[in-house]
Amino acid sequence: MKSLLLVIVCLSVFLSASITYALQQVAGPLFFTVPLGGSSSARYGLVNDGEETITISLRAEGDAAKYLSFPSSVELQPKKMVYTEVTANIPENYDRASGGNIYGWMYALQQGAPGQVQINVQMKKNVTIVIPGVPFVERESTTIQTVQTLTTAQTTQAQSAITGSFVMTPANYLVAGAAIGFSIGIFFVVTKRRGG
Amino acid sequence: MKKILALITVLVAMQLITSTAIADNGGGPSDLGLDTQVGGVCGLVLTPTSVHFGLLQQDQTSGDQTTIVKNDGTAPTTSLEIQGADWSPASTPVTFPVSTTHYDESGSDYGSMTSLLTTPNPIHGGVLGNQASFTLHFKLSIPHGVTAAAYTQTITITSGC
Repeated sequence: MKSLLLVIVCLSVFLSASITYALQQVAGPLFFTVPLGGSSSARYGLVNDGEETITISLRAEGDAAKYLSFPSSVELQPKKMVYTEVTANIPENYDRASGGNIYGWMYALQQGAPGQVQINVQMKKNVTIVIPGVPFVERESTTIQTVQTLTTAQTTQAQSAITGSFVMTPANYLVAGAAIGFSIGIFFVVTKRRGG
Repeated sequence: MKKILALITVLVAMQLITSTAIADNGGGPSDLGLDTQVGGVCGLVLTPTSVHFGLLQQDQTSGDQTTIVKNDGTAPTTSLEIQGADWSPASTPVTFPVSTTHYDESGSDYGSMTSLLTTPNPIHGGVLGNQASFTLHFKLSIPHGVTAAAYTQTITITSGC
């Protein structure tokens, strides 16, 4: 009975340690090319890397915000990437003096756990809307991330994320090794009990 | 009982191994579109997502509270910011300033730490490599004359890529 209790306690500790709040987004800006009176869509990729289903609040800020439409919230299942469609609409009567380049940001907010100080997790995405035929104007742009210089390892991991293939990192080997060792240990305990 | 134990063991081992794999492939090929942008994903994990300073008196400074900030994605962040809201009680409209909460990455003296603001401010130089993490320390000092009540605060940590 003591061994059984020990196993249950170990399982509880090991599994509870893996429950975390984790939000990810696909790298790179949301870029729209929209003609006057037209619309264009892009997809905002979000991943819930936690263990439970979560609901994320979406909002936009900056000059581009008033031209964007998207759902106010999105539900994310654990370990699944969800693409949310974001549409940019430029009216026919758009003020050309405002320029053919409009910038802003989109935010995906995950509420932290209730407490004296709640700490929220938020992802930020740069947004650029370009209107063909309308001259650009000088304005404070968002700091747009264009091309990252990635190391070989980062490139491999990034390609893995895009293709969906699985790459074992040293951390993965460590966790997998710990899991296998843990399982062997429990088997040993069970076998010993059966023998005794 | 022994068979059930053995079954639980096998199931737990399988769950642990598969969850590790799924976490790294960004959700599996069926969920990834052809127009996925190059650069992978950047992530933000906070452990924990709430902290507690406990019961404090006027002019008293709290002990150190921490949360671990980690980018669990495959791409580095290009921005990392922190902002907060004023301390407010549930029952009355009286608040005290967000800036009474201080933070840094070393847990130094309250006076040496940075005041939290309602506007975003960079932390960790604004950049966090993939799979990198650091500890964020918080301390609170209660201003003189604050009405006794149970106050709460919301802090938001924002990551971009």
